[in-house]
Amino acid sequence: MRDEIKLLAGFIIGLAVSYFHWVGLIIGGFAVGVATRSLRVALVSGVIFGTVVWLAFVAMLSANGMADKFFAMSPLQYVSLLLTVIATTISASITNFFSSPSQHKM
Amino acid sequence: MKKLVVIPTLLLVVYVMVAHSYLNLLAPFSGSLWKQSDEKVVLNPYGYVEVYYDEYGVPHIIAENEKAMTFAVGYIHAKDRLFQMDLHRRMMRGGLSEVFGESFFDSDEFHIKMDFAGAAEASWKLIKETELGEMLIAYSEGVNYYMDHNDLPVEFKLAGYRPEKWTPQDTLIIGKEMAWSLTGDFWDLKRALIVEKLGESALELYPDYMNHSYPIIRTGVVNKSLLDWLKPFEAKDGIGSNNWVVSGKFTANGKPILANDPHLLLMAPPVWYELHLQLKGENVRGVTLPGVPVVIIGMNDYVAWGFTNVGADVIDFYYYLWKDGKYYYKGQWFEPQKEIRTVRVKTDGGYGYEERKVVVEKTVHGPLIDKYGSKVAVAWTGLTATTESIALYKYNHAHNITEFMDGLRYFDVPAQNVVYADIYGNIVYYPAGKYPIRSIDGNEVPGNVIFNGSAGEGEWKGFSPYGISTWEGFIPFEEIPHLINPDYVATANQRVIFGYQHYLGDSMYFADPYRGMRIYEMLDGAVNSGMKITPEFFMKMQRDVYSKPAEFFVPYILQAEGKMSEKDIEYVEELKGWDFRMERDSRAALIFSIWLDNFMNETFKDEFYHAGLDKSFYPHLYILQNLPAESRWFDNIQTPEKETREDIAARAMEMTVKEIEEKGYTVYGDYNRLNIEHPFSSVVKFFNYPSMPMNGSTYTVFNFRRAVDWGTGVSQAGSSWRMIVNFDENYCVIPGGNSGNLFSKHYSDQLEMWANGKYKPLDFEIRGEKVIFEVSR
Repeated sequence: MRDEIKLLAGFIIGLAVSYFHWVGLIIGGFAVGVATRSLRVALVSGVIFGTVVWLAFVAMLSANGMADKFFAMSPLQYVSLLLTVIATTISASITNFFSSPSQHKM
Repeated sequence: MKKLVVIPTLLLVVYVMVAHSYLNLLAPFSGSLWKQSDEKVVLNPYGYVEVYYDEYGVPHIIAENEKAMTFAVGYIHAKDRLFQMDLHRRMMRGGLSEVFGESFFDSDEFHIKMDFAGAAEASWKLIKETELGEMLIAYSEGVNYYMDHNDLPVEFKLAGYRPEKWTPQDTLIIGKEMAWSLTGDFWDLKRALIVEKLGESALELYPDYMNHSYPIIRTGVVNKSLLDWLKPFEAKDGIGSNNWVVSGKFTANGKPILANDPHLLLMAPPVWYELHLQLKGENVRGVTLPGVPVVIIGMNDYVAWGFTNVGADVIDFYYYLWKDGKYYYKGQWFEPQKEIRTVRVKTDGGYGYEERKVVVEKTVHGPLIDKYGSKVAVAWTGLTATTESIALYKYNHAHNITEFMDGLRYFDVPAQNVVYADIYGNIVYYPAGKYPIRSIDGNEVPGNVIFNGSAGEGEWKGFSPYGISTWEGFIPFEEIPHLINPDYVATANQRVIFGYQHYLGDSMYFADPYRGMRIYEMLDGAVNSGMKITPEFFMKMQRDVYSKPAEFFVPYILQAEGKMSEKDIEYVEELKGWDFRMERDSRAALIFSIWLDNFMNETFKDEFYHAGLDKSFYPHLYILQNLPAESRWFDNIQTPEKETREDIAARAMEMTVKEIEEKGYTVYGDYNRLNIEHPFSSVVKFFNYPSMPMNGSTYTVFNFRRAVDWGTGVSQAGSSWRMIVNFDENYCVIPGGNSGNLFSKHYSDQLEMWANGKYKPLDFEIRGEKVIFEVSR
């Protein structure tokens, strides 16, 4: 249960910081990685976190009536998704290795 | 384990090093491509200001003093239009190729040779000690404050440069740009080339006057390569405007009513930036040019004003006798004033730079254009210290006709048809500006020729290029034909008046009379019917798409039916019973519009292209309309037969049918589409405005010109601001939105409204989201 809370906290902190700067993607990736017990789960969490941040951004654009503009920018919107997911996934993989070796399940 | 930590950490470091600039641009939420500046408190050295952005992103600015207000205008212009401001000053200073590559070097060379920067400097010397000078300093500080405290607009990141600090001279050079775009006309040079290539007899196509009955005031040494090089930098055919004003005697509320819609190039973001200023309880609202802190067209609590371009000939060209690099002038040999400027040019696909030299040479008359073996000096009224900025400042503050007229005296360039109305019931028409009087051997002469500069022919007395002019050789302000309190007056770039004692320009300097005719027809009809004019009637006028050319040319098509195929006649049937309205769902408008282009081209192409002259040398449409049916211009010189107007009309219809079928057009809106582009449109399309079918044409009051030839490309032009003022109900709209930031909701929020002829209120009500400019300590 503590891991789930950590994971949720990582998501929220990362999302909040990402609103102001892309460093939030790294902090968030790092934070969700901390909450995982294996590299594989860390990588998946990183991908999910990055995708959620990107979707939250799209939702905000949509609420402001700007989603059409965003999706008309092809391929930049997909580059944005790719950049985000790579940043969060690499960050998540780092933090996973700060966990105790006994927790690793390679 | 340590090794495993190091690997992904290194990977992250490498990733950040490689991708950080892309993350800065494209990261969700914080990427500069979509992030908006949201500074709510700004420190202002001059005083307290509140700014409210209304539902269309129009700032309403309330200030405790004028300098504080002007600082805020600078900040706000930069916030919404900084890239546009920088792009235009960069173009005028000749600095485009440094950031956009060597394809812009010709533009830089032209603008440097003309030394517009020197002219702006001369204007600054004249006004820097005035109250306005202090305002321009405060404005520049506001622009620079924004640049220093905020992320730059994304265009700078995409282009990879930072703008330099804004200066008062930059504001003045933006004014010079507008003036040049309206009056920098190379017709005198073209005319000389036409005479050389087609003979003197071709001047029948370019008479001194077009013979029509709708003037505004109804009482009364060149080669083709040089011209091709100059074409992108001259005033465009698409530039024109409408304005009209009616006395309160004929209006529903008993006050005068005024309308204006200047026709300029349509671009994203638009030419104009709308704002409302309130100082000591007094209001002024209208449109500014980004980079210029005063309302240019608009209204205050007491007066309203609008402009159209007079189009008068305020530019002349001079040739000289040359020997050993010296020019002969009035019996003596002179060295041209010479300066070598270095331009840094981006090359190798953006990875390198090279330095190129541009030689700036000036004679007593002005800058020399020396290209392809042609060498002429240019005198243009804007190439001296001018005071139109003072005029505009005075308009903004005018309380009555006397104060406004005082401002008119300062309006030097570009000469404008100013219409005015006030709450006291006065209306005015005044084509304000400086008009040179030319003479040879003491006799006044027209200025549509290239003058012998060596003999001192045609030169302007009192004109000092890049200095302070005394203007004594120009038409005195009082002698400029004008109207004070007429019943009504309409201007649409047509000739000002017939039979005036001074030369203002030949027929090519003035527009075809069709819009002027139509506006006067509608006003005459309303006044003669006894109706009381309302803003709704003026809206209907500004939306009017009735084509006078269609009324005059469709009979020529019908007369040619006997020479057409059955298939072509089916198309002609569509024109029978047509109401001559250029509406987007009209098939007849589609057929007529394409036919008209073909008819013009088929009439003149053989003679002109044979002589090496392109479409830009063709005469006005009104001249074509009035050619006799048997005119020699209808005869195709490449065929043995002798063609007449009917033959050419039939051939043009055959071509029209072919084009419509090939392109798959069904209605006018398929052909007449709005495509407003951003300066980056050749690289990315997402800054462009949405495309849509349009009503209107070049010759209708609701003005939309789907293709204006720049020489280096095609753009669109049309109403850049529609304004209607009767002091009780006032309306306006711009073609796009007030913000230049792509992800602002005000980027293009007025576009559909504009395209459909709808309006928003032009009022002084303070409302919307608030920003505070606090006094800095």
